[in-house]
Amino acid sequence: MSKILQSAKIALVLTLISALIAGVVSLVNQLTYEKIEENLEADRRASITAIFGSEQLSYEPMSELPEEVTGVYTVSEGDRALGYCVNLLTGGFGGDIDLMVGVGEDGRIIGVSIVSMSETPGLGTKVGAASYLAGYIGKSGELTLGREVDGVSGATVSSKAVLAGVNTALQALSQMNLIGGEAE
Amino acid sequence: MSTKYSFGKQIREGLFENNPVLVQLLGMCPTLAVTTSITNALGMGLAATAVLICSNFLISLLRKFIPKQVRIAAYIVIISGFVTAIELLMKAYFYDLYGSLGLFIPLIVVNCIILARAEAFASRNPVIPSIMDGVAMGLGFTFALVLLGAVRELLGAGTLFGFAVLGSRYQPALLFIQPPGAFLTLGLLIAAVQKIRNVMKDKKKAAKQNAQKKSENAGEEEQA
Amino acid sequence: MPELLTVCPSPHIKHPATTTTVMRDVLISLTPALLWACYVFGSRAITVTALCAISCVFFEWLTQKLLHRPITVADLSAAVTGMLLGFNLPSTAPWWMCVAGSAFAIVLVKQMFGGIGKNFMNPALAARVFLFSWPTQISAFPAPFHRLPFWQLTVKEADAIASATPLAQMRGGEMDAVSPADLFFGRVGGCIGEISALLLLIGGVYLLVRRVITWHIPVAYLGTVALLSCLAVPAGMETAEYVLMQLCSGGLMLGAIFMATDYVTSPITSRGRLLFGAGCGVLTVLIRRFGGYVEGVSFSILIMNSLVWYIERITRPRVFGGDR
Repeated sequence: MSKILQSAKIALVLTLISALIAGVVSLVNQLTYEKIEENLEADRRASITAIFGSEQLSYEPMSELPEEVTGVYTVSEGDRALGYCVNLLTGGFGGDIDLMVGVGEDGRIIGVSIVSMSETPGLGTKVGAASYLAGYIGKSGELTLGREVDGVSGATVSSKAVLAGVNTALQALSQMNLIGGEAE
Repeated sequence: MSTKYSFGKQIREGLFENNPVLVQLLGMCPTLAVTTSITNALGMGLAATAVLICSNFLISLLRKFIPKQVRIAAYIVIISGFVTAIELLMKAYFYDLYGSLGLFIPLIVVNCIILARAEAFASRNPVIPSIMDGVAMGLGFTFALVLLGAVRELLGAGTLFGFAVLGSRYQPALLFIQPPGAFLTLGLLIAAVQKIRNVMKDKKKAAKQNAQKKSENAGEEEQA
Repeated sequence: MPELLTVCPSPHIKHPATTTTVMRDVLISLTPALLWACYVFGSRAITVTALCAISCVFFEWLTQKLLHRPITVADLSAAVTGMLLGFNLPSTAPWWMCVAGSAFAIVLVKQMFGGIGKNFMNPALAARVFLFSWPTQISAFPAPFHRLPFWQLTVKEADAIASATPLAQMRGGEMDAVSPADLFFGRVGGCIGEISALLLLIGGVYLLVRRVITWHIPVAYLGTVALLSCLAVPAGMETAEYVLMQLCSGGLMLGAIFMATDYVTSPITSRGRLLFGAGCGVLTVLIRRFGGYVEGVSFSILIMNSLVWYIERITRPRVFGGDR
């Protein structure tokens, strides 16, 4: 009988500790929730602004996304629609690259920016340079390395990762019937 | 169990004589992974210190209340709770740092230093010394990380805190901010610390012997 | 009364070979390849190699001096390490890279582990991998017959035109870019000492005849690469041609004959050596085909170096009369 009692006591103590900790965490969560959302929003806003080059834009997240992407936004400036912005993760050399791809309604790329990556500093990170990513602007359809866009020498894996990400973004948009399919 | 606690001694132990990273070789995962720059090292060190202080405090407070059989489970629950709280706080107020440390913040949960101090110190000592132990060990961890981060950032990127210090003619040796560089630098640092400890030990011994000889001599002279 | 018997402890069989004679033989066997490099890449090939050799000897002397160890630079082992390191660099390598690589090889890889005979990795190869810290400089291979003069300590960017090595071209699908004959004789781009398969083979034969090395590691290494290459011949290519190209390109010959056979970092039994060579071969083929780099010889040998303790354990000869 005492054994059962003891087990019950152990379980009770552990439950109490867990409850206490859960309380602490939920308190902190409540305190920080808004601030965190603000930070994430500012981040998103900064990349979208950088791509579309306009300060006064607004964007709306869309629902029912294809599996490969983490977010699609319709971007507009006032009443004028600017296009779409696709957020997705693509596998690079040192982990996932968080990529934002801006695409116009005509299916041409408006800009590509990297939100975060963990590529080899000084080598793979060269794919994040604005001058390199500018090479994607105006391109459309299925892209190939060495044909439509160049790779960064010495950072083939990272270049390929960005390219794959951009291709996925374009595919996702045409899958959602937002832009026309690739010209065959 | 000794009942006297000296904060100075605890700090000296944590920073040097019993440094969690350089002497006890605990918490190798964050040590090797995030020390690519001083900023990262400092952020990681302070985050772990904060968790360590909180968990030491709570575990010491509850030490008579936690049943022996489930103590590890209880410690892990407490530690992971604090880690989650710290993660949320960093995400809210140090967003950039959070971005660069990312995955390694949740991994503080399994940082051996924190569990080791909970088991070896906080669960057997009163609250105040346990908090002090958290401060001392946390600072020791931070110190080792910053040292490692400084060497790696300086050699691997030519910068310190992100400012170029070695001039534009220096060609950064990428290896040092890549994983092999972490192992190399850590190995050399440990070797250096061991060397210093040995030299200090020898000196202490020599001093003791000298003192002994002197007192013996003095005794002999007196007798004479 | 004259002594009838001399009593002394073993060893009873003496051989005139010493570390110095062995190292001298290695230096001699590497010379043809160096002269050829001088013809293909210009006299700067000698500058780079000499700089590495001199730096290695200097760092060996310096560490031994600082650590109060006996000075053994006269045994030429540091010079061999330096020469091999030079052979593993492109002829455009800047002077500071040679010095940094030599310091890494001698101080960290060799002396930190206790000096000659105690390092567990080949110092020259470890240094080469360390020098991947500067990816642009270490892969700035000049085109063959783009000769650089010996007095240039750093090469101007315009002169350091990077050309793809045969392996890189093959990876990119350009199978016709080089002929097997060019590869065999060494009329291609690449590191200083790796280009001419023929001259490296001659050096290898010299070492075999002088009994500096045994046949096991090179044969097992090259054989495994040849065998595995047969399995992956690309469409539209003769098997023999493809295998020959795989064997003669990159640092394979240099690695198999001169680096993998390093006494200190390879197994001592024949069976162990065969296993070691085969392991290097498998890894090389895998890295060449699937790896991030186009060449995998250095990595393969280094990985196998760190497995030597295990190979020694599983190939330990049975004690005579002992248990199986």
